[in-house]
Amino acid sequence: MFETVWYALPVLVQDMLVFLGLLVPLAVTGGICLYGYRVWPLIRGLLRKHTAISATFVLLIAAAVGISVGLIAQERGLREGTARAADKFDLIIAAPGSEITAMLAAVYLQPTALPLIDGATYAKIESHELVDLAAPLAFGDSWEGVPVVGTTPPFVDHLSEGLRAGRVFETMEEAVAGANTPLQVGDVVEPVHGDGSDDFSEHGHAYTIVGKMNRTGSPWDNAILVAVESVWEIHAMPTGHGPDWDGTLGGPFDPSQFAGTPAVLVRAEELWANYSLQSEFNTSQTMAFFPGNVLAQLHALMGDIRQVMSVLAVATQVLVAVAVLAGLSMLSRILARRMALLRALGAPRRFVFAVTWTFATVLICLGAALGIVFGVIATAVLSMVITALTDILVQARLAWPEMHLVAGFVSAVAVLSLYPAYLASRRSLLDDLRS
Amino acid sequence: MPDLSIENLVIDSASGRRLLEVPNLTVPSGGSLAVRGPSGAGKSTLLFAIAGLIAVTAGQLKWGETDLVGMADTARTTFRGATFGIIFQDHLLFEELSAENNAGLAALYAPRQRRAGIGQVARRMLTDLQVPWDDPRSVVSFSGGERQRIAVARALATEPPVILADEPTASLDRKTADGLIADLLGGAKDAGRTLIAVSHDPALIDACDRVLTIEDGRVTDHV
Repeated sequence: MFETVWYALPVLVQDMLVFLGLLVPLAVTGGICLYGYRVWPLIRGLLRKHTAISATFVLLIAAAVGISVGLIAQERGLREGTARAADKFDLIIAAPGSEITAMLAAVYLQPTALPLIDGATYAKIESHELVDLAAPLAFGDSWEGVPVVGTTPPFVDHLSEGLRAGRVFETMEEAVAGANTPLQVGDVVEPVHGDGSDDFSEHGHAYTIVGKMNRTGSPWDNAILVAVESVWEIHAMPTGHGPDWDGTLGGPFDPSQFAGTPAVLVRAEELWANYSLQSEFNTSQTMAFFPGNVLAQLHALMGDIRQVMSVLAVATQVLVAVAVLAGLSMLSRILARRMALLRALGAPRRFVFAVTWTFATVLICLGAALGIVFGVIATAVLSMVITALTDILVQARLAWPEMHLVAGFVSAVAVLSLYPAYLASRRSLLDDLRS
Repeated sequence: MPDLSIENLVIDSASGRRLLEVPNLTVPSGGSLAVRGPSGAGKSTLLFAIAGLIAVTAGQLKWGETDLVGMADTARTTFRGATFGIIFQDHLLFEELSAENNAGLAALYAPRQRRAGIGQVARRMLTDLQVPWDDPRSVVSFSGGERQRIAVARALATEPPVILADEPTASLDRKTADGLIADLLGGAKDAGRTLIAVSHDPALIDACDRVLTIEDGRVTDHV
């Protein structure tokens, strides 16, 4: 019955209810502690009186909360970013080997040595009735550290979904620049062999930038795309076309003139067709895989890491909470004379308990709230750093899981704060009054 | 209004050292008693015992029929809140609060139905003692005389039947001290309150009905 009602609720409502549910211990504890008392004038006064100490506690808690929620949000953002980067790569067919290596090369443009698919195999892929788009890739050159990737004009259209500026390359001397490259239409680049770091040699072949892609959120944003034929040609290999080629770039390629490709990016209109192609091309000659599946496996591994990170995040918060409670116990000594005065004037122990608990809980709540702000800032900064380092667009955002973590933390520490409050209420009245 | 009666009161320190012996003392309801003696003689110890703030080793200490010696801590705190208005030597105000909030401090933990009344009396007392109750400044910026008068207003805000004061004029100049003595004793007489004050101030001592002298933890004179 409960499950039926629960799963019938919108996800947003579920998240809000979980959030509120996690705050129930705080509300119940607060309700019991504060029943019948007005503590706020004293709490405001104590915060003013002990501004520096209070600010230190708040910042300590905020830092712990900010780091924890920032890390968890970042991990999710990274998963979403890697998945988004692979979004345009429905099916990859490569020579048998490691799917992860092939995916890293084809999707994330990581330099790796892969065996090549020959012309006959490529022709079989290209001519398959279910294939709507097949694009060979050619790597090996770069311009000022920016990889130059050979492919076909239809794949550029597919990847970029139209261009931000200019048009797709139409000759072997033209190129399209990724969205994050510093290149503009009209610029001329002359690639070198390799990644340009050492032992490079110029090919003596220049490209004119004729178009600029839209942002894809993948490392392809930081690449220069050229005709695969030109890459083959400047490496002294056949261009993929026979002697009667009219110069039109892209397939169909002549199998006898095909220089070989480490991976073919394949797309079929229908989902079932992609699965059919994957099944058909998983042979002794080729392996076909969905990058999404490989990523899912990696994410499953990351899921374990995420759990470890979550445990670490909670452990960090618990350690900070313990440190804060120790600090509050010390603070209760600073407040001791005032609390003794209250009791001397006739205030019940429970009032002293309520004042100390509320003071601790206010600091915790302020710290948690500020921690969320820190988390948002940390997430934004980390996203920028990771995006810059990996070329994968990471757009991490704090979401309900982080809010749940914060709510649970606040409630847990609020309950733990009962202990220093208890200690404060049990101190020797006379000793404190005369101190 | 309860009478105070003490018989064979003995208070020892935790280490066993004798701090105070009072064979017999009675303060009738509405009367005033000054407790004098050299520093460290045990005057404040007696005042704290009368307030139920210090453990009694032996003897009897009663307010009317209420024996503070055998009373549980919670009940003693409740009795203290309902019976005494206490003025401490060094004011012991909450420095970050305003005069009004200090004087009406008891409203924070009093039963809901009493809060408004405590607030009203606190404001009236501040006005009578010439402290502006609506001044929003924290009391840390007030003069010593004003702070002591705020402490008096706090002691009177709950309209207690007994005022216990520890060196109430110690930090005041003569003129301010005389004003405070007149307020304390005049107010006590008008309201029929009992006043017990520990003091070195001859003016306050002379103004009280009776005087108790304590030296080295023993009563040496009682007039």
